[in-house]
Amino acid sequence: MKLYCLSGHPTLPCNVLKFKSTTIMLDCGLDTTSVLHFLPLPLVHSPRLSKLPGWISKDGAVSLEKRELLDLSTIDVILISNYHCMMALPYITEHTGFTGTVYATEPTLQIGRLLMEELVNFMERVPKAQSATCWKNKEIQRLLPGPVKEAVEVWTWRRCYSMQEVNSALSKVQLVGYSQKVELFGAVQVTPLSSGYSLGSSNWIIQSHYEKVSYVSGSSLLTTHPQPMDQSSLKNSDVLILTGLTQIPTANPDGMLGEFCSNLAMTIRAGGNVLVPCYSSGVIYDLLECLYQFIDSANLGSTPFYFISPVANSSLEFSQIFAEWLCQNKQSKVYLPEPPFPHAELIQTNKLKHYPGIHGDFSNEFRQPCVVFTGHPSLRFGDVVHFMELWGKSSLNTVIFTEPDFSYLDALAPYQPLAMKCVYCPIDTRLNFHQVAKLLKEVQPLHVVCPEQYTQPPPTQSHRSDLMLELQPPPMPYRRCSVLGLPFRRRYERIQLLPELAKSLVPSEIKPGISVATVSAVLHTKDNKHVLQPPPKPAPVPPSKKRKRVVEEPPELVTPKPLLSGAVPLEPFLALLHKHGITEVKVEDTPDGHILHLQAEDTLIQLEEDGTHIVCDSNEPLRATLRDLVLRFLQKL
Amino acid sequence: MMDPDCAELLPLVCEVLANPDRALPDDTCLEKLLDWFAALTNKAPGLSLLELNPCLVSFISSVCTSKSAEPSVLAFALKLAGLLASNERAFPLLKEEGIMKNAFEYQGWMESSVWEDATVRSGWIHGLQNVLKHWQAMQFVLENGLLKAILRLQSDRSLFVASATNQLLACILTFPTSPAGHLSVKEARTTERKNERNACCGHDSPERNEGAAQIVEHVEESLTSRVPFRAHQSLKLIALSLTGCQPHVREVLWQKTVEAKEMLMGNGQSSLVQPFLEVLRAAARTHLFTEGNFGVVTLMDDVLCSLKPMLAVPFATGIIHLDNCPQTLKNKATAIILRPLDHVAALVLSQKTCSGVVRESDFEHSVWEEQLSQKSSCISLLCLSLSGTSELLGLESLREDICVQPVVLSVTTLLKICEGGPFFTSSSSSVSRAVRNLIGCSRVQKCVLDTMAALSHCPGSDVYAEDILSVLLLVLQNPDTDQNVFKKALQTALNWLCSGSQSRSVNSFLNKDVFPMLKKRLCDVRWEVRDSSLEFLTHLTLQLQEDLSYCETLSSSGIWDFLMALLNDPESYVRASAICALGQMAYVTCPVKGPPSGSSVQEELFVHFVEILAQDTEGFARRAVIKVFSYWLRHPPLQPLEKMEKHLGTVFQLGSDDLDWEVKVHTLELAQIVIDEILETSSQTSCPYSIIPSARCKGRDLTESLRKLHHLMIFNTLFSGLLDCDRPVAQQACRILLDLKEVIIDHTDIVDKTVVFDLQGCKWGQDILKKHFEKHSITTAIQVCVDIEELLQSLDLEGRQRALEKSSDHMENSPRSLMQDILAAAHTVEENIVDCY
Repeated sequence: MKLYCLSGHPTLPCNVLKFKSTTIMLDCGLDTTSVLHFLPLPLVHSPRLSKLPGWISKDGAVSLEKRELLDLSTIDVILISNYHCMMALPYITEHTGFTGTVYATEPTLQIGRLLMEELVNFMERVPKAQSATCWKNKEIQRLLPGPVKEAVEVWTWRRCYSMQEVNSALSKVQLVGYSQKVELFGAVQVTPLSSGYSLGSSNWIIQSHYEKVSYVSGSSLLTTHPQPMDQSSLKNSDVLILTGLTQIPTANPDGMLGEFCSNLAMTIRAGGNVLVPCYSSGVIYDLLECLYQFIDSANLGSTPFYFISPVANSSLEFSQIFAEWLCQNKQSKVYLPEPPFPHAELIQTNKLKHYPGIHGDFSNEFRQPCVVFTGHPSLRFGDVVHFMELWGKSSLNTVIFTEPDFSYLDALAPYQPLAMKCVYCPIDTRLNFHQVAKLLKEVQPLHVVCPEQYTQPPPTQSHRSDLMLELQPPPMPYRRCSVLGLPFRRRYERIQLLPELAKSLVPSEIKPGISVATVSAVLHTKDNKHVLQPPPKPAPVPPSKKRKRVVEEPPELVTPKPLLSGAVPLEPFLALLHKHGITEVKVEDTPDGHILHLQAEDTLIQLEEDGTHIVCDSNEPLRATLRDLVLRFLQKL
Repeated sequence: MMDPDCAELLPLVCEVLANPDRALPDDTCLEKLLDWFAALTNKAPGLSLLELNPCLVSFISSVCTSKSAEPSVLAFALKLAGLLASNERAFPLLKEEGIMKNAFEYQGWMESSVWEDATVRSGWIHGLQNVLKHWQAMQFVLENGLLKAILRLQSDRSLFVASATNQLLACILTFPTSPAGHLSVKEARTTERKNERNACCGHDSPERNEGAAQIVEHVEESLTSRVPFRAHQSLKLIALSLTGCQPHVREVLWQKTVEAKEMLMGNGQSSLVQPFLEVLRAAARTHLFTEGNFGVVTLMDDVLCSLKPMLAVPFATGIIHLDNCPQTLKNKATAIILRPLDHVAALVLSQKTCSGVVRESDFEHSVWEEQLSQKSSCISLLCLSLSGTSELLGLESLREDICVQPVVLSVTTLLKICEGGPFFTSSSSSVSRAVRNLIGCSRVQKCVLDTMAALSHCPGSDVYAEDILSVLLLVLQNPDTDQNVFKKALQTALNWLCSGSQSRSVNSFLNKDVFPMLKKRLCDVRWEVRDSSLEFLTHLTLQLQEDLSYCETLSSSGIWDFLMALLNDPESYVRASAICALGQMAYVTCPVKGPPSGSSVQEELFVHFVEILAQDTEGFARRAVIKVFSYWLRHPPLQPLEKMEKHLGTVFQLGSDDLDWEVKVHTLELAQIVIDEILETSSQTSCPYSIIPSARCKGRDLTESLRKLHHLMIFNTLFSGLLDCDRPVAQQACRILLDLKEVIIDHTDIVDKTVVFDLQGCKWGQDILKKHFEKHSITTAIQVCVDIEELLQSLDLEGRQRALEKSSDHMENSPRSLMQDILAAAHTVEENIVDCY
């Protein structure tokens, strides 16, 4: 059993597990931090941005996971744990020879599709003067200025995929529900479990009959909108692969949510606008719910909230229709019937308005001061670029970062100098180290595999020894390009007995509760399933004496010799010998048992725990008698 | 004296109680009855209670002889007998009647099966304790061999009995040698008197000495008995009696304790350590401590070093409070208290003990280290140490002994650790373990903040203000800070901000760090945080209102708008706090964006507050409004309040019609302020230059004042308050009216009868009218207009005040009602039984 680690990013994992002749890819996250090396893509040409020194205006690009480690066409299935971890899917399934299946839950597929569409839309709608790739050549890159020169592995940077590729990739997705068991080639069974992080987010169990591997990726124990995490099914794992812990272990989501609200209220009260760069699904639902409660208490009822994204409408509506994937208290609302999320009410009362983009309706209704939620959190593309340009000059305005994926200082760099206030309230509801320690104590896996980042305190806070995994035995760390041999050996395989064969068995009890029988059968193996079938009947004696070919003959059935079990007790045995006229017996104790010396017969009987030997030269009748006497004490199978 | 009603009921009650077939309403009625008797015996002289109520004697006698009553009644009878016999004159009578023997003779009880009930044993002990008020009673106990029985009960299986027995034994040991407890020097010199007294109080009598010896012997046996409970009880007894007993007994008791020390202390694991420490503490309050030859100080010194840290720190905290404590011991105690703090700071800062007072050789280093590396003990120990440090800093005598700087360093470090802040150290495992225990621990944070607050009062601590405030700011800015910790941090910050003398640095700190933080906190999601921030602002403004630069900083901070927004907060506490904060701020500042000149900030606010008073649905906000008005009137602002007077009538109207009684009380307080002010001005302005103000002039002014009060609806408020069903409101109104009455009656000849009420026209009029007519026995309502003087005179204000002074449940709580309840309960049960058949 081997694990190939294609991504070193702890929250955007991409691992491949080889287990019992199957090759399973676990997630394919897309690390888009490389876009921070590029200039923002404004809808209209911005002379300021294009003249920034040290930056080059280029097409958006993303960093792909290491591909040389493994031939992607050999991958049988891809298991997706949440919509953030599937953004690289088109790069894996398209133009690589991939022929397998992708498994994901319905909300993951739908919202993942929205996020991909949004990404493609953001990239494609901006007119680009030119497209170049020569600069990726190491020799040329060296000559380039600024941060690009230092960027590593630029050859792995790729152009953004197209809508066609997205559609093709997503057509390979097979939908699954929580706790649904999916057989893969009869060899293993995979099951998604609720992970509590986002709509439809799942952890996966990959098990054979005797081995269990759990894959935990992006889980949350907080009570937010999704169904709560299923912890108990993770119990008794041989290996637990742990990824997707919180990226900001020092920031408690509740505190950050409070901080978000108070900064927002403070800005609005002072007459400024608030910009929230965010993804169009996920934490935004919780932000809106929190604001729904906060708006009235903070007297913000008259302030407009705008949500701008090409997929804003779908995102808000999708969230309302996946009732079965929501937490209990939201599910129960559906029966009232009420929309599960309160943002429906915000929309109804006109407090929240959503638009596909900044042109059109939005420009007519735009009112300030206001709060705008829009993407992309990297501030490199999407409508957020426009608002940064618009509001950056006034110190009354505030930009509040809630997504932890990007360094907010790097994201802001091309907008400097900036008068606008910047607040960093990263909200990451995924497990923190304290929760993980508790979880692992509960589910007791034999071995834990995790990114190496989790085995030491964060580099910026080396004194925080509470921000790392401390386990016994210590977790197995992986890094990008690692190939780990998982530390357990497969010892058993399940074999089925056909009923007629089972009927023919004659078990005999050798210990209370344990019965044994001998089996003679033919082992039949197909599709990783093993079946014992009754041996074929011996062919009737052919009428002709024509010689047949040996190969055609059914295997000769030899009745196996009976198997013996039990022990020979010394005293009764001596009594029995005596009864049979053997009186002169000298008993000698040995470490393993006894040696009986039949002096008159000049014979030795060695009684040992796992064998009995009769040493009797040339007196076959006596040996046979003795043998029969010994056999009287033993059971035959 | 018992009132006749009660005297009549008492025999019936005694009969019910003595009858085992009658049921009691509940146990508490007997306790209440006993309380009443205790009060009576304290008040009534000598015999009278017994003589006037012979039923008591027969009750006790019958109950104690038959021993068939309920255990609770038996216990009651015993305690009552004790109470009655505690009177020196009643005692011989009871003894003669055989009551004492009946009630307290041990043999009789031992043979009875009711003795098995702990209630009875406890009643017996308490009864004896009640008696032991005079020498005759003592003699009774000693002569009848009761001491032996008492000593046996000291290790009774019921903890209540055992503990009561200890109290009784302590009572015997500390029985005063003179009636007054101790003789004054002057008295003692007159030998004649002394002998006389000795005769009557048994000073140095052989019985007494023998009794004491018997107890001491018992104690010695218990201490060496190896039965932990017995030793425990005896140690408690020693601790109880050591300070009060006679010197020679004290010395012997001490001797015995010291002899058993090894066994008591064990290796620090014994359960007897705690009571042993109690004895040490008690010894430290006696002459044993100051006289060197008893070795108390040495023993304490030894114990201090060998105790486990969790016991050592509280023990050391006790030591620092001792008077006459030798400096060396005090130093050691101080060192023990500071040690955990030192330890953590030293771990993190990689420095050797910072306070420098701790000598390493004195302690078992490993034990302390171990305790600090475990989570629960680490937190408890640090909290103990921190609260001990706060106490240390509170003691003026000790402040000089502590070097403030290392303490400041320790507490700031500790707070930084709790915040998860960085520090400079090699990451050894013990450090990281200790640190991990503390990150985000709000218990430690609260204790640290208390200690920091205590530090602010230390002389010379000003220099650390900047360090402390910067750490506090970390706590205040952290969004994860618990709301209680946040509140405490603000309070601590307030201490430091107001104790500092360098207003310039304080102001820049406020401007640069505190106000931006507060603005955010005023928008916090948690109402507690918003509330604490507002309270902080209110107090800060109150403290620094004289500081002009502060007022400027506040005005330009823009915080005013945030406070105005909070007047509409959904949480009523927050609205109330916002009102208080604005009330305070309006008093010292004018916001930059204030309303256009013409009407002052205060006036604008006044109007706004009156609206709140009329409209807010919660009492807190309305109470706050009235309180702010009171504050404004009591501390007149720069601008005259005349413009507000036009609204005052509305305020009184709204305030007296409010549904919340506290609002009404505050309104009455406000009325008092206005009355005082108006009457005072009238007396001042009458004629400033003449020595004796002319009567006419004064009369005119008084009439004018009364008219003004009438115009402001103050009389309306007072009269409706007087008739209010809430007692505090009526009391307050009555008090004010009485004062007014005095003023008016004093000048009855000069007051124009122009302040007239149309009684039918106002809400309270009908009731007042009724009272008024009752007084004047007028049957028809011809006269409905009454002037103020007449009205005040016709109302029996004095009578009303007396009635109001009694609590509303005085009838229910009276002994008469209690006895009626007992009787009623007994009868009801009987009827029920009859019904059943």
